[in-house]
Amino acid sequence: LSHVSKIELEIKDLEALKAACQRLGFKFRKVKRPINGMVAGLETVHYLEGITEEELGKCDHAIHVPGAKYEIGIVKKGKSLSLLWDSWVKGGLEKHIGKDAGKLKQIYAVEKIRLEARKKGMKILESIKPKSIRLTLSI
Amino acid sequence: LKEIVIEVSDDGEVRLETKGFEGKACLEESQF
Repeated sequence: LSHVSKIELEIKDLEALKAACQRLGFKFRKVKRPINGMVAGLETVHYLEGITEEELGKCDHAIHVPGAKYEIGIVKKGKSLSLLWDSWVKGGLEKHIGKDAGKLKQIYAVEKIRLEARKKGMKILESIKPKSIRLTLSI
Repeated sequence: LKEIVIEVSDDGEVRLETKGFEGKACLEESQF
């Protein structure tokens, strides 16, 4: 019997996010100061509902992307982690993390699945396709 | 053989297919 589902991705696991950053060559850090970026204007800032303009750039963690002037902020909201970033072209982030941070979300999902599959003792086979990554888990 | 095939696209969309499971076991095993 075969079942197919589509899943809405929610970022919750800090360890998986750190693993994704490592895989992509990004530097994950706990911030003591506002992150770099988010100066271009609100039209290019990807941020959360409920965050005020004054709160922009004040995050719990940050991701530094080599080659980009701006950084990605991570804000804790309940059990979820939200990415806060500015796609202004001169900030250089979109080139590295994809439109709507798609590339970063993809690698986060892959690392989260690998982490959980290892806990369950599953065998993991990963294959890279032109526009996707396929994980085959077997028991 | 029980298998879970997960396709993660480069925009972060996740598609999951389970094979060889019976009943609710596929839901339990594919909780990530």
